[in-house]
Amino acid sequence: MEKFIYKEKLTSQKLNQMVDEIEGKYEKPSNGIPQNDLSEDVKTSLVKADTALQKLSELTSETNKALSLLEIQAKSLDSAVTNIVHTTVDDSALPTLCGQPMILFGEGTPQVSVVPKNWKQYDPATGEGYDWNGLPSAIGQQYINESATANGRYIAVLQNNGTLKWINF
Amino acid sequence: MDKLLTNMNNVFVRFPEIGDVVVKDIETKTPHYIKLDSFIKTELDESVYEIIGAVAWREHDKVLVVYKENTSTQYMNRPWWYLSGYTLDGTDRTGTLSIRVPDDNWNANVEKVIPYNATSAEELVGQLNGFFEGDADCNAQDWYANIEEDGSVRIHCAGTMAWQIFSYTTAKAGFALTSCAPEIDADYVIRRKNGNNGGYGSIFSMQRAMEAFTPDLSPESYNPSTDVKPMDVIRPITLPAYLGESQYQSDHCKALRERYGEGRDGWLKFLESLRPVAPCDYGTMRKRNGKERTDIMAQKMFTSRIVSEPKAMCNAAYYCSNVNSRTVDKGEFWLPTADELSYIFKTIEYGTDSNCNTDPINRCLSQIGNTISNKTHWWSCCRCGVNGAWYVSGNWGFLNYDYVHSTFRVLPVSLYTVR
Repeated sequence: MEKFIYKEKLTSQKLNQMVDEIEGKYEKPSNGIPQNDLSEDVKTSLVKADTALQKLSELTSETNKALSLLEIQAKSLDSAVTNIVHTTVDDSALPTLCGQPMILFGEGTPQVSVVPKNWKQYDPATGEGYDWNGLPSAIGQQYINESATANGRYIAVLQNNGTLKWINF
Repeated sequence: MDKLLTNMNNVFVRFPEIGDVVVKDIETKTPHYIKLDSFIKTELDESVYEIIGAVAWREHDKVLVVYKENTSTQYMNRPWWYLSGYTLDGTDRTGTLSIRVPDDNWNANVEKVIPYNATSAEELVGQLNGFFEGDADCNAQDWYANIEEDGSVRIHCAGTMAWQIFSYTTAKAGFALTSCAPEIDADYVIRRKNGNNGGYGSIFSMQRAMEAFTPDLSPESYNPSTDVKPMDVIRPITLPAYLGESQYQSDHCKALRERYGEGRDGWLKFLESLRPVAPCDYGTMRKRNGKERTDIMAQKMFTSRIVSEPKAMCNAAYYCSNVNSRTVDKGEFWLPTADELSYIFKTIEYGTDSNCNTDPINRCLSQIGNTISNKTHWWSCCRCGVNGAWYVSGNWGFLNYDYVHSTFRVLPVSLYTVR
């Protein structure tokens, strides 16, 4: 009965060769194929991929930092804008009239008991400034009554007797 | 710098400091400044430079200069008024002048009814002068009338006899008079650092005020009899009163000590609060046009029945305005304003200190001319009321006023610009 046709005589040599081939066949490790088992061109591609990924990571980090800074600055700006509305502006660098601000801001009509917020009161320690007495320090000085809803603006004029007074305008 | 200066004499600087010597180039009349520490008068070529005075103050490019000489004289010796209300229609008319006379110690007016019949101002003036010569009171006071350049009729008299002449001379019943010397306006108030807008008493010379008010004094002006608050105070308070230790009053200065501090240091800070606000647009200190004021007063001249050559009516202004030399023109110097005196007397220590080298202004002036003492009175050009003018008091160190015919020291000043 000739069911198995063997075209070549299977010698021991041939058998050993076949065994070697079987044993030399790559067996994939259970943890995955290590990089060193890959071909050079595959290794190169992988390195390139790694580098690109690194750069992307760094860029993302920088971008995040920039975004954080912008956020902080935006909040600061918002705060500063808010503060401008609600607190006294530093007018120390502005020109003065006889040593006092050109425009005074007070909570009420100009009078002795209402010292303008930005009036430079006399400081005994330094000798600077002079006390508010309800009257202007210079011709043309203005006073704003912050409590008034209307007619809260005053200007200093000279009287015939050489004194100054406030005129509501 | 000090080592440099000891090896160099008469160092010229562009931006001077207080006390530096002011000279002018004789050829160009340009002012220059010599560092005081380097100044050797004998080594200055006075054929090239004329010595003018001392730097009293500088702010930016403006230099306040005090002249090397000063004198003593009256603010005003001859009051004047402008007459109106008369009618020049050639009919018989009268007008009345009401004047003060020596009887009853100058305390009462006497009415002088003056008849006239004139068709021109010249005729009226002639008749007025005729009346004045014939009336014993008017003759004694050298009353005189003249026509001014603008055609107005001016009457004037000798003012050195009594301050009441300035204040109480009036006209009625056919005549009218302006106020005395109407061209010279008056102020009564000075704003202080403590907020007070009072009259006399603002401290100009701290050195003098410290000396004058250290002892215990009884007058209530300087030793309050009731409690005082900082803004209430017009004049200095003595040290013992401030401390609540005066023998004349009980303690009324507690509020002051709360504001300015305890002890002598607190008292000094309190005195500083009485300094005038300068510059200031309020009251006397707003008058910063000393040259213009002086010019107006210096031009007031008179002749009379007994004075044939024109004489000045405002002596102090006339003296300052007429300072002149090879490099100084008439009108270049003027009688200082109260504002200018406040700057000058911040520095002056000579007087309370017997050494004229103590302050730089006097260290300079002692080498070139007359010194400035804080123990004498110095006129300003600022008027206070009808019969008074402001001056720096050598008794108290504050700005005070006195009758214009009083004799005080006069210090010409000018303002130069650094080029």
